[in-house]
Amino acid sequence: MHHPRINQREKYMSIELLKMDARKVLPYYAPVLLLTDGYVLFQETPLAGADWKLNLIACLQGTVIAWVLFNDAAGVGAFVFSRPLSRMRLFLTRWAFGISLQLLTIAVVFLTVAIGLRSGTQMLMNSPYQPMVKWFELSVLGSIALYSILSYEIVMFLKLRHRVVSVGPPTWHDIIWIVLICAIIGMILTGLFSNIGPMAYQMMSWALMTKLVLERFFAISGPMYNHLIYLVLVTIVGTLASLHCYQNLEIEP
Amino acid sequence: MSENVIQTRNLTKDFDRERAVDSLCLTVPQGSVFGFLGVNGAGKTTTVRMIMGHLHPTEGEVELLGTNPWKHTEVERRRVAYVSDNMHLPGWMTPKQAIRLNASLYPSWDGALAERLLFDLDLNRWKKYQSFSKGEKRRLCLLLAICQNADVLILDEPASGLDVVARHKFLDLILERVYDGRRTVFLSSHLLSDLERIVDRLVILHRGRLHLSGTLDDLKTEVRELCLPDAVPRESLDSHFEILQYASNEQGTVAIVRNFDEARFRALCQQFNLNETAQVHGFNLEDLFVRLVGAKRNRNRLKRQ
Repeated sequence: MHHPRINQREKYMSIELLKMDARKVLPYYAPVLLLTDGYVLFQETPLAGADWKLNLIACLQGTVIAWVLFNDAAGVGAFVFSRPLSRMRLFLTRWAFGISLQLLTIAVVFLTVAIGLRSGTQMLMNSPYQPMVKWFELSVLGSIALYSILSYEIVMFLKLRHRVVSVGPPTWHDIIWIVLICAIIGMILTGLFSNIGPMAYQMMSWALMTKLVLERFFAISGPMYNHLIYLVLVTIVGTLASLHCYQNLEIEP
Repeated sequence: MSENVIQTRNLTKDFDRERAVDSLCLTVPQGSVFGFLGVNGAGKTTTVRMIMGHLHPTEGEVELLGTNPWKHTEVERRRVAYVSDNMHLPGWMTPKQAIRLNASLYPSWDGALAERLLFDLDLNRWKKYQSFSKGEKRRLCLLLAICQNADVLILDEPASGLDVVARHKFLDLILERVYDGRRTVFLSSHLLSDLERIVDRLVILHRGRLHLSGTLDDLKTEVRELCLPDAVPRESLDSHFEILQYASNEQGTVAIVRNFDEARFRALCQQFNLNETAQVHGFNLEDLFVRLVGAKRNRNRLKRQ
């Protein structure tokens, strides 16, 4: 059982860590958020999930957040990693913060479209597509989430990958991780080259179970299901693989 | 009974094809001020990074506070304070923010001491870390480590970048705050005068290998240079002393030996009928280090040529 004072201290520790990470990421995140929201606000044609420019901006967002968040400047790593914060806590705090920033972008885009800021701006601009079907346009939220989180997971893993296995002959533990990491690379490639095709993940029984649940209880099926499962799988495997790398990460002097 | 705070067994680290640390066995007892001495590139920083769990050993084991540092919990991590030559705080952080951060991380944080040291070490609490001079940066890192009140203080070249006054102040702080027999200090440096002032145990590392170890007092009393007027075979010297360095030709023999005592020396003189010109010289730490490591360096250079 945790002592209340220790819980309080752990809360402070996480808050202080979040403050440090926020100071690091926000100068890079803010321009990307402005770019995303600016695009949503001023784009004259109706927004759709297949908008490659918006998807590219989402990729940029995921990449920037992962790169800056998991990159400690020379010498700062030695400071951060010698504080009494476990690797697990450091990783999970940073990972969750990165995901939260991406969700914040989605929330901002949602508000921009849903409360009529976008249609108001378009009206002022005398856009030929005005009035727009805002509930149709909200489908971009899914594609922003997909491309941003996907890029985030991939860049985070690539940033941390150099410590995939520990030194010395590989143990069973290492071999399991290598298999998992090969699986994530395979999934990413399958997704990228087959238009997020279903082959790789549908073979997994728990993915099939998820499909049943989604279809039965949430009426989600077809391409939307494929996107969702693909995103969830890449997020789970990518996060676990990156966590393993982070726990074995060697700190630069 | 004192336990070992740091222990390494056959600790080895390779970088590509180069061996930085070679089968190092170290034992640092609790309550000691342990000096870790070596020239640049001797493997000190690599060893310290492995002790801190920042680097994986290629072979061998390391234990800090009785467990593998890679498996330390947050509670064990709180018991260790660390400053390295290359450690930096985020550039935007001010001393005030750094103190608040550390106060939230360490239950044993000494806030009153931190306030005093900010004044004593002449640090502006509102100035950003990135605008500090090298010496100020080092002073702030040392302040954070000392005020942590940790059981183990691991310092890798802590005095680099400090002026003489700041260095003396820092050593005084170590003596004042840490030399209470409960806390352990592991101090890696090539500044011999600093080490000689505060350490009670010492290890000399050269090219990744342990070259000499012992308490400072033992090294000062037991290590001697023997200058003998005749050629004395190494094997004969070996039967009396532990030889650290040996050179002999027709004109005489010069050897640095470890476990010197007068009775053994007289026995050696009698055995080889050495006259009055046989001489014994003692060393201070700097002379000893230069003689041991400097000679070895020259030999290695000649071998390479």
